[in-house]
Amino acid sequence: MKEAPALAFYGALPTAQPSGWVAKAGVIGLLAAVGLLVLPPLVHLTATAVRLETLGSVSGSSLALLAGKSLSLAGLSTLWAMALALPLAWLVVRTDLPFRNVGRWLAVIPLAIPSYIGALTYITLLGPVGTVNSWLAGWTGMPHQWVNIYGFWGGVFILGLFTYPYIFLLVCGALDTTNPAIEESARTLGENSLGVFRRVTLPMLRPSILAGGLLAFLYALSDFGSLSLLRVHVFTTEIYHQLNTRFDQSAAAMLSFVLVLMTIGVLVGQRTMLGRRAYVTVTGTARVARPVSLGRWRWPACALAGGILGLSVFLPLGVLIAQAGSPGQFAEVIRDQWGFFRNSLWTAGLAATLAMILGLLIGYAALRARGRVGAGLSGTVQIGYAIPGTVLGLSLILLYNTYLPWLYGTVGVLVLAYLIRFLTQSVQGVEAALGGINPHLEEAARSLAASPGTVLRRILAPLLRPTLFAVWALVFISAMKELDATLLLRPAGFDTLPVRIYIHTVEAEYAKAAVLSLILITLTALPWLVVTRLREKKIL
Amino acid sequence: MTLIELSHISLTYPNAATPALYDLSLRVEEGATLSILGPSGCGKTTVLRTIAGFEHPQSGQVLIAGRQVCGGGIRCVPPEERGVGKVFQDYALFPHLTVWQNVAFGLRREGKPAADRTVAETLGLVGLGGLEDRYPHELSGGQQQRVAIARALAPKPIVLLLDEPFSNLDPDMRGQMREEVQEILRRTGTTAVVVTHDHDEAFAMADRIAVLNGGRLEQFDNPESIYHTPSTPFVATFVGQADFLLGRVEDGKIHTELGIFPNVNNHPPGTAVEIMIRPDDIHIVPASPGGAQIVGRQFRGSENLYTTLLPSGQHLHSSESSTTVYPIGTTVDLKVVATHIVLFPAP
Repeated sequence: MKEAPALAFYGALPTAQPSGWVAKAGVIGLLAAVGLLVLPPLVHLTATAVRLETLGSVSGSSLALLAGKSLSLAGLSTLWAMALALPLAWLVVRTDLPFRNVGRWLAVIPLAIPSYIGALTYITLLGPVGTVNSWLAGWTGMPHQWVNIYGFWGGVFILGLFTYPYIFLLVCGALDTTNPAIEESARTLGENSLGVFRRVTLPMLRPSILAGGLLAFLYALSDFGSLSLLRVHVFTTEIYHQLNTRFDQSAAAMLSFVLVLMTIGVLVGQRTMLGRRAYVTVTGTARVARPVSLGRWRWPACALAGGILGLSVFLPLGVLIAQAGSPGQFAEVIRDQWGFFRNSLWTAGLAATLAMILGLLIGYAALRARGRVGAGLSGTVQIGYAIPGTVLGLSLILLYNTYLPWLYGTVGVLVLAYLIRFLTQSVQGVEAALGGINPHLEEAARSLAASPGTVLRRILAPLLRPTLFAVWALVFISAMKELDATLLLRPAGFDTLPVRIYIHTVEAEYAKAAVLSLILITLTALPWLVVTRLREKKIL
Repeated sequence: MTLIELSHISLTYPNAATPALYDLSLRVEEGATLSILGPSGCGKTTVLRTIAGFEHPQSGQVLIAGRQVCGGGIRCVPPEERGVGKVFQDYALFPHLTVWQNVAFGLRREGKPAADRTVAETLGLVGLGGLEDRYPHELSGGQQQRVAIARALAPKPIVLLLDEPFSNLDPDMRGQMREEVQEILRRTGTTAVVVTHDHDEAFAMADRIAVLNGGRLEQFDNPESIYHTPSTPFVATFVGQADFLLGRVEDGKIHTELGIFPNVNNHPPGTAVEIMIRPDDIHIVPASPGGAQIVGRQFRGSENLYTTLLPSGQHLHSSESSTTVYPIGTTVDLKVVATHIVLFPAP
């Protein structure tokens, strides 16, 4: 017998409904709490922007120019990310590429390198006073600026280079689960391998490419760190400039409002684009497609994959290690900046713990309550993730400055910002795990005379424990790397690792920035490695 | 005319210790249906994939409509140039295309008007008119199966290959689809190869059956001969219930607990043999004292299957009409009414 597709199977089963007024009150209470957390900053931002009589210092034409620049930068960097991700994914999943398993593992590493660190490495290489320019000047004897990473195209290059794993991961997943018989049947219907790829494989990958592309696009649209370091004028950098250099809160609010509208527009567009063709291609057949033999293209393909990994993994890490200098210098930087480590670790740890607890409650309530209440809960949480960090920072400043001045300028606001931005990761993790638990388990326990509380304690909690651990690690990693909102919200003197890296890079102290970057990458890669390792061993 | 011919095919998968197919020879006549029958892992799907061109045997050759497509030192002809249609076990419909687009997929070279005509005709043939604009995930299992058959038939293939076509359907749907597919094959005069592990399916559909076990051909014959005169004990038990009664050859006859049988294979005197007895070859008659005792009864709707115990400890099964009910413990005499005597050397 064929196994039924897991999602369809569980989706068709009835879910236990919350019983009694206690459960209902709990759900409504959660909804209110989450709503109060996420919505007021946005509402207040909108109100501030709409109240403005004029556009202030921002003229209509400059706004349109900025929008055009932001959108084209996000679009081009997404295309560049697709161009990197698609061939790489196909090569490592479907062909006999040498070292393809190692390649598949390495290709995800750029996710552990925040784009501002990526920008830092390429600035030290290709900046006006970077390694390549000074080397070329010395070699030719002409003090001329040969290459320049600063500007629009540098931004496109860097963002695509460090966001392609989003597309890569989804496309690999789709290629893994695609039923090879579908491609074989196209062969029996008269298509050669090229025709099969064009008429069958590529169209079936389209949802994954679009979904991954959307992630890359939103990342590029909301990124501040790398674009600010590369001196690109887009919405996020302009908001920061208005707020920190010109102290023009209204102009910043106006720009933020437009950026949020653009983000919402992109998200709505994506919903309508997928439409009815939400293909269910995952089938239970375990047969794996036979790898395509590359023949004499084997080594050229290997060079291509190596080139992509070289630009996105080896070169950045190599530059960082070279810049960091001797172990003695390394240790000195750590000694000097120990306080910032502590700041980063405990704020991220606290945010991750709170996100895990809230995520469990919201995830359980959303899934069990179902219907509009449940969708409203997880939907509201998702809004927080869609707000660019710079905009969230500004919104919180505006809101708490006006209504809760005692909270403004404390570490509490920082943790709150992390929670708003990354709560959805925890909620989605819990929801996915709960969705994968067959409701029959709960029903079986209930029929064996277990109370709902006992079911939660003895059945669901043990099954969810690994998920909770993974979710904690995920939020911890995200909060550790957060720069955009932190830069605006941190109390005076309370720097985190990303903030120090940003400041050192701006001040061209590349060695110090490199040391901190290496430490940050290690600190964020470690929990991730532990989680994936445990997952492979089926402990998680 | 022989349409498909496989001769001396041997195939070993990379990293496999034993060959998946070993010296296999088969042929399919034009317009006939061949069924490849065997337990899972016997290599039956590999045979289909070899005909389709997805597997390349290390030795032997494949001929399709007189053209050598594999073996004999030539480069194997790729699947898309063989003119075979295949219906996959899980249907393998293109999830991003509608029913109409799925069926039209293989008709690109025909030109739009001709292709549209063929699609409409084929969808009518499988009874799917009106569902042209649906996507595969909006169809029931039976409907998906029909699309898969229509898609494979539309380009008018030389041969239609069906891989366990009914295994994903509900049991009551299975019989109905089997009849429909047979009717479609008959009406279009299509030559077909059906892979199955279900002997009832093979008996009902095939003109010829090839029984495979462990990559080797056990028997290649018409359905009746496979059932009544199996050539190995494996075939005997795989295609239906069979008991084996011990006997010994003496003065030209086989002497057993249930009497004397002719020595049809001329086994030498003194050798021990086994006679294959199917439940429908045995009748039970209540007798006191009898030669056997009823120890079990399974009611199967259309029949009662009795288990009887002989004094030697041997169990024999007998199928009686569903209205003939004897209580367990009844002593009986067993009457063997075998029209085909099948003998195997005793193990």
